[in-house]
Amino acid sequence: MPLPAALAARLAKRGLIQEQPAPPTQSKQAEEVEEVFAEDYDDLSKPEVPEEETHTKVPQEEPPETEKEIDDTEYIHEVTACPNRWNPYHTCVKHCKNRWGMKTFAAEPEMLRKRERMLRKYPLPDGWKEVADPDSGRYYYWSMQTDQVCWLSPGHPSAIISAPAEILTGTLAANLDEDFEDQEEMEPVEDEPMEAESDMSGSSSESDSEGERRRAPPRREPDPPRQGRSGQGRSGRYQDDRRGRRGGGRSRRDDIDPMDPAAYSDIPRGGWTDGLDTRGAAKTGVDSTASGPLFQQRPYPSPGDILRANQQLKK
Amino acid sequence: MSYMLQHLHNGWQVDQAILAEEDRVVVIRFGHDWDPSCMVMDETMYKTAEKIKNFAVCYLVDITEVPDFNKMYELYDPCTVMFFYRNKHIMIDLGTGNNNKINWCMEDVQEFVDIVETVYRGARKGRGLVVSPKDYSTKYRY
Repeated sequence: MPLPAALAARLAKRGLIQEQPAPPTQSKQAEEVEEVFAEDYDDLSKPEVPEEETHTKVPQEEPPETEKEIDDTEYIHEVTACPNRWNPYHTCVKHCKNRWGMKTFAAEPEMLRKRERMLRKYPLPDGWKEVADPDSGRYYYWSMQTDQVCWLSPGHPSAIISAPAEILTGTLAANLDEDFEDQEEMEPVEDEPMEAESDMSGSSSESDSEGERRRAPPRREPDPPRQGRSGQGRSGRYQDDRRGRRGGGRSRRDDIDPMDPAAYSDIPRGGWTDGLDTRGAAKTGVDSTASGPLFQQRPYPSPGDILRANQQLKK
Repeated sequence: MSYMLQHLHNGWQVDQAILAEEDRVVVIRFGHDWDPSCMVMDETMYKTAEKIKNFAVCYLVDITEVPDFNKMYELYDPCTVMFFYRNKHIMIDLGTGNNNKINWCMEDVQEFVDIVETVYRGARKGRGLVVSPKDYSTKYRY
């Protein structure tokens, strides 16, 4: 259904529609399809992916985040300059790219100098490519065979080679509850860029956005909502940390407090709801073992009050 | 058997029976008519009904037929007698530790009359708790 001319003009002015109406739902669907297609979850199970296959496919799909070959050696991790890219509820569509363009990679000479020094010392092995990351303004290294990434040259002693952040966070979100060991293994991934940072910068201080760098391990999957998922994964991991700590404390807490009535009598251990006011139960505190006017007991409510209370309970 | 005492068949009737009495104690027996201890209690109440009619009125409630109060009044005993005055529950210190009700059956007519009279006198003065003329804490001894 064509839009009214006035509305179309307003929407075009706000940048919400193009001149030739490309329906955003369709493009979104295409996005999802190609996301499934291009996503590489079998990173370790299928290491022999021919590199030209992935890379011939990537440009023709034009997802918002991908790696494009600028020339023979220069790869760039292409991301849109969309301001909403860090919004976990936002999925970059083609419009984001058209409207905001792509982020440009700006290398600082200091960083380039250190990179040179590192590469001279630890040259890249075969099958590893250097990819520019516009977000951090740094290069990372990507193995095209195994689809692993690393902030430092893989030969570097403190290099931590891992799967891309998208895959890590995806798996994190998938099996948050199941395995702790996996997350223990993944733990260094978060710290890796910081370590790499300190190593690369050597003794000189480099105070630019380290927090952001820590947040973003190398990405290479052409999948827009990754940042959101990485955030989820991180919080999930912290939750698990907490849980683990609690699990450690539980053994200590299992032995019973000697002042707890459960420790010296038949009373079962109470839960946190025990002793709370329960509706519909009489609170008379009748102690049938006591005799005489020991207790000024509370009288029962009148029958009318009880009937009304029962009515309330039924609701 | 007591066919003369009035039964109350639902919660509303219980409520109204208590509300309707302006200047008399309402004595309600919660239990079952077929229960032996209730039969004894009903017999006692029936015998006293004529004597106490000026200041008390007795009703019978089947706790299976009217289960509304079972939880709040903790009606677990086969026979329970409770006193109300002007829509207020009157506690009575019987020496048993449970001041809320008589939860056994009384055979002695005069004892019951004394208790009801004590309740009435105390309630007239605005007391919520009266002390029974006889201490029943040793009632199981004899």
